[in-house]
Amino acid sequence: MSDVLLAKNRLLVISSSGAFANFNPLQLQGVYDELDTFLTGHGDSLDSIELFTLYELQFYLSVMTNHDIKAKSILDRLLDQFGSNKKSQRIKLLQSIYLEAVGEKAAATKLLEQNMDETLLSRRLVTFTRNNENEADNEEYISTLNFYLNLSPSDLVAWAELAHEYTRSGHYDKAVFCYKEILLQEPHAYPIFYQVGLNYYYQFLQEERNLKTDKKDKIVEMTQLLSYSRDNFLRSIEICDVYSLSWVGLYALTGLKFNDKLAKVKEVSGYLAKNDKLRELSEKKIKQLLPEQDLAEVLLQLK
Amino acid sequence: MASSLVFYFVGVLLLVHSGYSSFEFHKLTVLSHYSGSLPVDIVAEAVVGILIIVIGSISSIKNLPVLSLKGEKVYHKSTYLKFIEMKNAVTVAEKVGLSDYDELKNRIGFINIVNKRKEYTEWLASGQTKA
Repeated sequence: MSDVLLAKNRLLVISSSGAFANFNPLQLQGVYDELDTFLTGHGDSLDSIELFTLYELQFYLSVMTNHDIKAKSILDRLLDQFGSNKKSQRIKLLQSIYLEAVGEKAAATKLLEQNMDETLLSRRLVTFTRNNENEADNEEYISTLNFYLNLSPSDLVAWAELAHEYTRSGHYDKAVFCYKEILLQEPHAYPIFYQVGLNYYYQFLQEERNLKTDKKDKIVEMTQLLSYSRDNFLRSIEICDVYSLSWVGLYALTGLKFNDKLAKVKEVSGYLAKNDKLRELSEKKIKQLLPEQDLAEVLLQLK
Repeated sequence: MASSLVFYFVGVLLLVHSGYSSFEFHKLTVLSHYSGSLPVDIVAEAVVGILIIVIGSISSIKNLPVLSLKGEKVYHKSTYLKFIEMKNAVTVAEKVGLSDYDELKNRIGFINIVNKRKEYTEWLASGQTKA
């Protein structure tokens, strides 16, 4: 298989998965340069679907790396090709993103507001209530997302966004609820099981920080959170046993100092029974999956 | 790939040969007014030729390597077919750095373009571009 084909497939996968949305600036710069070189050298050998998919990727990368002139030229090329189709939400979305990026938020809003039946655009409009200055204070954004989800309850991406916002603002129980809504439609989504486990774990840490008493009832209640967290990490591993994040979560859970307190409580003896075995297993698996990383470094992935 | 070309070559050769033999046989039957059916060896040669071509085409369907998001080559565990059981089927995708549920993780429709640009500008200003 030629290197050109491998590179093309990689770029197409980056585009279709949207992985570039979570790239750091160094990665963005790298992919931007790579794509530019690829399109210059091999653009002619692509079929039209591949070519315009890569143009779309190039548009996003140009906007994210402040190459506004380049972004505008790609957008114009896409408009020349598809602009006659006034129903294309995808093109309108790109236009609105460009306008938002260059600071013309009013024009972007006007474009997105044209037809409220266009779900993709309404969803984008929701993001305009986001607080860019302080991402932790996003009450308005959260309430708009809730409003949108009342109208479009089967939009899983919106549920994932809402869950992310709840996690960021420390409402872990609500985040768990949102992720469970996704699991109702995607029962094999192992990254979502991991997120549920992680949010239960965060909720436990939050309650542990505020814990002022050693009352048995409270300890049992908190152990319940750990138990839910562990169950969800294990379910994620059951579906995909090479998903390292769930193993890390399991390793963190089984190494908590809080577990020492549990030894005296009979009601939670069932929870503790498998702890040592799971810790040993998770440690072994993490070393196997992430051989180059130190266990202490690995735990930082959960932060 | 090279082995499947050998299969194709041998298979096509046998098919052509059986076709020519059949043509010769029919010419002969017209000339000699013989009314017997096609000899078994010609039919067998054609069947074997087709089988060899089919085997060649099946063996050419191989799982090709893919580039991970980090740019490393990732090979499939199985040479020919992909795994059916989900636990095994997702292994390669995980090695590549992807999953079927990336849409929920990346949420491109909700991208905070303003902050992304700000982050990039700060990174450029910090002079870590060669890091």
